[in-house]
Amino acid sequence: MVEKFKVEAPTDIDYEKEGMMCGLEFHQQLLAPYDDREVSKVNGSKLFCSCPAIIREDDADFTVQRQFRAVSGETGDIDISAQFEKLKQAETIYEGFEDTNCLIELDEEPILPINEEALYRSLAIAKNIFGLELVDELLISRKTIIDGSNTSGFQRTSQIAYISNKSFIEVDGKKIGIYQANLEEDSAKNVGREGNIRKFRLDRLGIPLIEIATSPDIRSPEESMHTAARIGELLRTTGFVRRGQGTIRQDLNVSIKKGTRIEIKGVSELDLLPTYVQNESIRQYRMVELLEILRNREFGLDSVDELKSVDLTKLYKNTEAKFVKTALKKKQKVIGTILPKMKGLINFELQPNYRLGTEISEVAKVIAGVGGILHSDELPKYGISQEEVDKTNKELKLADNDGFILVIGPEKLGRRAIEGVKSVMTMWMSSKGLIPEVRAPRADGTTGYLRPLPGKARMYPETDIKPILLSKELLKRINDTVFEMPEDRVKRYKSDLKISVELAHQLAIHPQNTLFEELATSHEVEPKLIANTILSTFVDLRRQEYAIEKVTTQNLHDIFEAIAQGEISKSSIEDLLIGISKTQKPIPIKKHIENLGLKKIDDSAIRDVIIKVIEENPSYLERGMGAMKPLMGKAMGKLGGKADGKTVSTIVKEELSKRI
Amino acid sequence: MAKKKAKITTTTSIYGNYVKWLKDKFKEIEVVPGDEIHIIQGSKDLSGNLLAQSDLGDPQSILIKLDNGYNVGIRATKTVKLEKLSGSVDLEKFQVRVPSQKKNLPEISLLATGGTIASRIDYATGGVVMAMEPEEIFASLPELFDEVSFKSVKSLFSMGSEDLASKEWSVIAKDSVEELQNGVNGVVISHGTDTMGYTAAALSFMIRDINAPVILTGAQRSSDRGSFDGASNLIAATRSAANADIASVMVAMHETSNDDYIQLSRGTRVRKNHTTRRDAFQVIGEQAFARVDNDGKLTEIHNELPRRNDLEPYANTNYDDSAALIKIYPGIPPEILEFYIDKGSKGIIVEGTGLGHVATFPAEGQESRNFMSAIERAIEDDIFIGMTSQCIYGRVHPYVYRATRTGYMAGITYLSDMISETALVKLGWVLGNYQNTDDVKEQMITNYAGEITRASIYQRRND
Repeated sequence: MVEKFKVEAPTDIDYEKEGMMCGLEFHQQLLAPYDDREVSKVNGSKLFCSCPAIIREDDADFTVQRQFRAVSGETGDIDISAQFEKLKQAETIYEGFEDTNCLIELDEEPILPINEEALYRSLAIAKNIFGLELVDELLISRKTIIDGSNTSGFQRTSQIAYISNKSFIEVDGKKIGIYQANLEEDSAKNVGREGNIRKFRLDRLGIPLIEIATSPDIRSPEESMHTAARIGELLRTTGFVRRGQGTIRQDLNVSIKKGTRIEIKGVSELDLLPTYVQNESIRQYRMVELLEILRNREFGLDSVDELKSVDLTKLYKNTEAKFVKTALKKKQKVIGTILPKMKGLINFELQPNYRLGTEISEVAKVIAGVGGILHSDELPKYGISQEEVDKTNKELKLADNDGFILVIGPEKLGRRAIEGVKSVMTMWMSSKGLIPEVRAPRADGTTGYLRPLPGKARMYPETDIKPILLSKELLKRINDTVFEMPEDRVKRYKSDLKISVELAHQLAIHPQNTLFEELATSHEVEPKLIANTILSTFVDLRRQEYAIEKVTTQNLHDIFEAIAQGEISKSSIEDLLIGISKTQKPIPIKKHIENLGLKKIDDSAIRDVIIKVIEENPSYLERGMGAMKPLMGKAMGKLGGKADGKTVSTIVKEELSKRI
Repeated sequence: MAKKKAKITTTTSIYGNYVKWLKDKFKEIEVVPGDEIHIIQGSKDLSGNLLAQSDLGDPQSILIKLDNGYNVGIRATKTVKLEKLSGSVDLEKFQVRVPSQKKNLPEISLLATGGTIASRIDYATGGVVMAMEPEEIFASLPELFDEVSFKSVKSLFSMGSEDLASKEWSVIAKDSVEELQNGVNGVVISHGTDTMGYTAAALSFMIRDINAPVILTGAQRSSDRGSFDGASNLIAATRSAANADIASVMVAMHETSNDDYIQLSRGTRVRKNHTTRRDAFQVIGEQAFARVDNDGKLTEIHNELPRRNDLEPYANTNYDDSAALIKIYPGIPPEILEFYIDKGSKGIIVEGTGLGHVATFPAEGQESRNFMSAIERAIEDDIFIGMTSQCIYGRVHPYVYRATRTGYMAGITYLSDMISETALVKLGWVLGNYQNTDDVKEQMITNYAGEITRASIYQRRND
């Protein structure tokens, strides 16, 4: 039988023909104070304790170390994905902060009653923005997650609303159904992994999230982005959500007709959504093709059984490959296994630039935390010689059509990695179609293996809280809540703040629009200047890698007030923002103005500088009024940010006229 | 693998806390929790598997588990339309797989008494109930079966430790002794944490001539979660029962909030000092016996460990329940003593302030607050009065202040650095064995099980 296949994956597929369907789960952190402390009002609090929702950049005050175990769910079965995590047997370290964490985040104390404001805000959004039907009695569930991202081993979550005939949004003139809304806790942030030690921070754990899930109505990669953008702007228009980086995450559910439902977890960049949808569709298409080829090669469960870790270290004792040498010096091993009947297929691309070998490598990484794998389709390479490959073939007793993989690392982890690859391949071969999985978004727009999709078994009731019957007062408060839609906001900006339609449009959907309004209404400064600062100055400085996240709302208030009072010129804004981003410990704006010498000088001082410039450049006068431009340039350079252009221009004009 | 199905039934009514007319509707269409139903209530139209309503929930809201796994409640009025659908799930059945025992491994016995370590979710109350079979606990710890062999696994009770008292202590003591006499390497007792310190003290006195480890362990987190601390506690307890060269009643619980070390503490000197933390159990006034890491490596800490020996253990479970414990507070009415005396108490531990004080010289006009006079009357009536301190750490001392001297002269027995809970338990046991007050006094200051330390060591504070 002649086998025909292309090693390269296509760069696109016909989404309609392949029956691509996509749904979105949009997660947004809620801004919801638990109590009336200032710190809670400014930052919001956690969902089940009063700790402020502050994301920390500084070093942790303490760490605790925990280990997780697989547990049985409500129906008594140990959840499949939980079992998988157990296989990884990782140790977990949590970094905490004495002033912004408590025993609840540490899983050392039962939760407090739910954050009432988070409850109200999420319900109001679900009902008034997305047209969902609210449940009457809300039940908090524990969703088993033992990847370490929750200290308890579960995430507290609750479905607060479900689909109705009014629950949809319009995207590019098309209706996208909204299926449900959940209120849940954010997870702890993963801040690194070394071998089998995973590190998380407790600052994010427990921040309330609203999850908005769409029906699988999205039919093209671009539509996924437009849908997410619309949901995002609708959420931000409420003013009930936290703003800034890391406050939004999206999960994508993608399937093609011949494939299955795959969840892509935690995409934070909106612009990349279409790429993930595209590459995942391609992956499913190619995976079906790959399984077909494997079947034709009579690769079955018995073939998977042949996978077996073998210590091959002795074959590489004298290797020229540097990274292997280094590893062996650290007493690490070269562990390998045969991949029966897979010769030539390990190079098979599942996504553009993502081969079967890459997939195997991802499996090894998530299961054992090893750096990656080497495989027979790519060797000899990286300093590994043909001779070493031949010896490996011999040691693993490879037949013509077989391949192999090598894992370099501590022996235990190497063996565990191969065990993991084996269990994933077992799943492939014991199913007729593709296996539902959770996949991770990779920086290059492809998706990498994460874990099997957990089943229903992982949800059961939270015992430490009462069921919450929505009270009449709460429902009335929700019904009385009116949100301004982004379209109405554009109109208002245009009429009240007198900014251009274009600017109003950009601002209405901008995550910082409430900040803009706050600043525009508090200071006697042109709204346009504030808009430009938020829309372009910030973006420019971030691109230049200034740490502008250090700039606080208070800083901005102080800067615009200084402009309003005529203390500094508006051209100093950029210098001040840079100044703040470069400072280790926060200092008042007044101090920055002083340090940077930005204090505005009065008109007579400006005039002195201009006169000096003119006198130093007598030849300019020959050009008549044509000397305006070069003189302006020189004068502005001398004045730095201490004077604004308009004043300088007027004085230059005056002085120039006197002299010609 | 042997399979065993443990059916957990904890609900009085299968429907739980629903209003009668809803229950009647359910019966009418023949649905029970687990069955799939379709609810139409006004504009609301939902299907899911019926759940029992919890005691704290709204009796008029129908709880269902949706297809996506979430539970929601829909408030029903009498016009609600309910329809039974064909699907159903089994909500309360648990599959237990008990791994088969291997031979030639050290033998230990497990006695289960209840507590969080043996608890799981109750769908009726939405709370946690103590309803696990000991096999269930062990089934989730497969690594143990490669290391030890369980000679016997017994469920003595299924009780929260707040409900346990001397009767149960006697049962546990007798069963432990029986296991030791049968030659096991050690005994593990799973126990609620609330009164684990009391039980540990009771067993320390009741099990005489102890020759091997008898280890109590429990959990501060429920077993349903991945962060269940009981797992590592139980693993360490089991490994220590099998292998530790320590003959004592001990408590095995977390050393810190980390899951890295489990601490073995002497049964008479351990106290629950936090309501919820994993490391709630702290050793008072001496060092822990040992610590055990996750791989089972035991490091001895205490320098005078009671070693395994050839003694023949026996149980002395005589106990007098009239022993009482009074915590002194400012302004406490002395009549509280009379209450116990009237109840026939033969001995009372007074947990005094500071070095062991009670109100002795109250201000003028406050003479009725003189607790010392009440104690003097009690002692005249031949009632044993033992003094401990509510400081938890440190010793009582009869001579430092005038007030204590008065107490000493009156005949109060100062119990050195015995912790109050241990003193109470010891008193019950001593009164169970001795009638003569002088004998009781002498026994109370005799060190039976490390309850009195020779010297106050300098303990570094954890926090």
